[in-house]
Amino acid sequence: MKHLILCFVLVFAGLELSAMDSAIPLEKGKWEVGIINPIRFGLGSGREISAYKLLSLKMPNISYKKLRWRKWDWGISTRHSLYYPTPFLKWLQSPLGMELGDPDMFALISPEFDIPHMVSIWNSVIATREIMDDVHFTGSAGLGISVGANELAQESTIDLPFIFPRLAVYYSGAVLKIGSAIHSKINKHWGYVVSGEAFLMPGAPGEFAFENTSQIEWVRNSGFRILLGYKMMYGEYPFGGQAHIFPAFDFIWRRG
Amino acid sequence: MRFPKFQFFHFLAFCSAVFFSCDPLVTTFDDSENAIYYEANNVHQSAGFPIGPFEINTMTWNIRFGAGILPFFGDACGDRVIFTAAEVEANLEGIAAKINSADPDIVLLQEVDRQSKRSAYIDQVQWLLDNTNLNYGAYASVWKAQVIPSDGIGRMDFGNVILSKWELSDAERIKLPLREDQDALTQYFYLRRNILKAKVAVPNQTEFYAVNIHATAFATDDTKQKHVDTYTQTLKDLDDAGIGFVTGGDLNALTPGAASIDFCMADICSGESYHSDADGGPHKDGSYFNNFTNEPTLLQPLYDSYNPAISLTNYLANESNYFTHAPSTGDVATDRKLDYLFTNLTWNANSDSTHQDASNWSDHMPVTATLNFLQ
Repeated sequence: MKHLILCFVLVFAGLELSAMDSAIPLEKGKWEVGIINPIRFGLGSGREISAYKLLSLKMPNISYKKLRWRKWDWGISTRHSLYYPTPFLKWLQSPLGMELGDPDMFALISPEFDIPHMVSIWNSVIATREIMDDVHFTGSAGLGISVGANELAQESTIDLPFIFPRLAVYYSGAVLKIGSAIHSKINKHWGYVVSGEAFLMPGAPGEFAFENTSQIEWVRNSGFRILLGYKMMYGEYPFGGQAHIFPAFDFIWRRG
Repeated sequence: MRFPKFQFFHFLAFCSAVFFSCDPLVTTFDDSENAIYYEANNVHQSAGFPIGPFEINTMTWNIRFGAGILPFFGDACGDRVIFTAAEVEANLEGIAAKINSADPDIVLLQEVDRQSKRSAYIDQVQWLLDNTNLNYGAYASVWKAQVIPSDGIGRMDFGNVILSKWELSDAERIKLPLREDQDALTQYFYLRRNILKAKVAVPNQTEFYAVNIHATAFATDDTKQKHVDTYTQTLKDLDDAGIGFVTGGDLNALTPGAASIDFCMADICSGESYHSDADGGPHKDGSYFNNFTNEPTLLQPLYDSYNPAISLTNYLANESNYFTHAPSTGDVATDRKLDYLFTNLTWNANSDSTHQDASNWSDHMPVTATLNFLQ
């Protein structure tokens, strides 16, 4: 059972369940880390790097965010991300390391498929504006493309919520992501986050997915907060459309 | 533009109310449930309603989810798990051609995929209805899960099917006991076998039922005995009520008196190690038919109570003519009979046929026979 839990933690926690995002990078020397959210580090001069730490164990990844424009109530950044999924997908073919013929327990991809060396590159524009006191709106749009995935068998998809749209770029060649979020403080200790994100995946065996995350935020102090709510998703899969809802939580620490 | 804060809470509440998935990770079943009905896109009117006494051609066939004899990892010493749509459709075309050439009026199918990743998500019930002379169908899942977390099998929905030229009603999924020789986690994600029973609107018959079963294959305890017990009780209830039926399926049991009960060495895969019955085991799951007391004669009560399409006398006189299953290795031709047809009515004499020429389309061969309402 512990292996099953580990598997799902790696898969779901690693695949960007985060609802928190903003065009405003962390200040120089500050860092933030959540159980689910990525680890972020402010480089100064409007720059920030981040990575999904759990996922990095199997899927090396890094993102670089740069504040491009800040005027009136708006901040606009670009984010550039790189993912190398090959070790992760190979691991999902046999999480316990057993060979085919024995029970490949928890394998989500059949070991019969070859997983090529491939990367995905994502470029996004993120815009954030304070639309009223303590209420921030963020909108984003991004394009992901894959390189080296031509040999990946179309039958090797993982047809599960969260995972399918995030791996679709390796099956379709390109994915467009657009999203928006509202982050509001109600008082000193309480707030909420509501976000939505759509995946357009032309050419993939399922071409559309939408996710909504709604979370209540409890802020203990500037260094720690808790998010608790749900994540809902509707997506098209190779077998048709399906909706899911899951609990969504995170503990986030900030220092510096 | 600025938004009042409370609207976001309304939005949140709206989303919570509208979007919710009711599908469980693994679908479990009650003791008795309604089956799922199907209808061909083009119902063949020629199926009609003949006047007076007539015959009904029947068939049973385990179609191996359209995988043909491809080397599936689960039962064929193979390394394949997921098949392409082209592979599955090619096998379904062979299955449909065989069904059309035999022209049965009622077909009992086992191992039919409906929405499974391994068979390219082709709804094989609808596909077969749309590509044969059959018009109506009823489906009962044996294995249904959003994901099987093993070997990359993924999403699964496969089960038993009754197809008919005539309308079906009162279709019922009757639950069979789960295997008890597995750990809890494996059992949760494992097959949930059933009997599928449906009323067939046969012309000039007030009540006539088709009953389909796929009994356990790999249990090493007495689960198979429990499956056959439930099956015989289901048939007895119909018989006691004076209701005619045709029944059959893949019973995964040998004919009483069969010469061999141990197929471990025939089914052995490269790298495996088994011993013959004389050595005392270990035995390969599904290849050994003496796991519990009286397993070799498990089907005797069916032969005693009902009319088999192939009599024991005929079978024992020439077993190989009636073998319906080929070893999973694919190296040997058919070597055992696992598939049966019975009725509490009467078969046309010598109308039975074991279609061993269908060996390209499944590891099981179809069996057909003709019911005669004249007698």
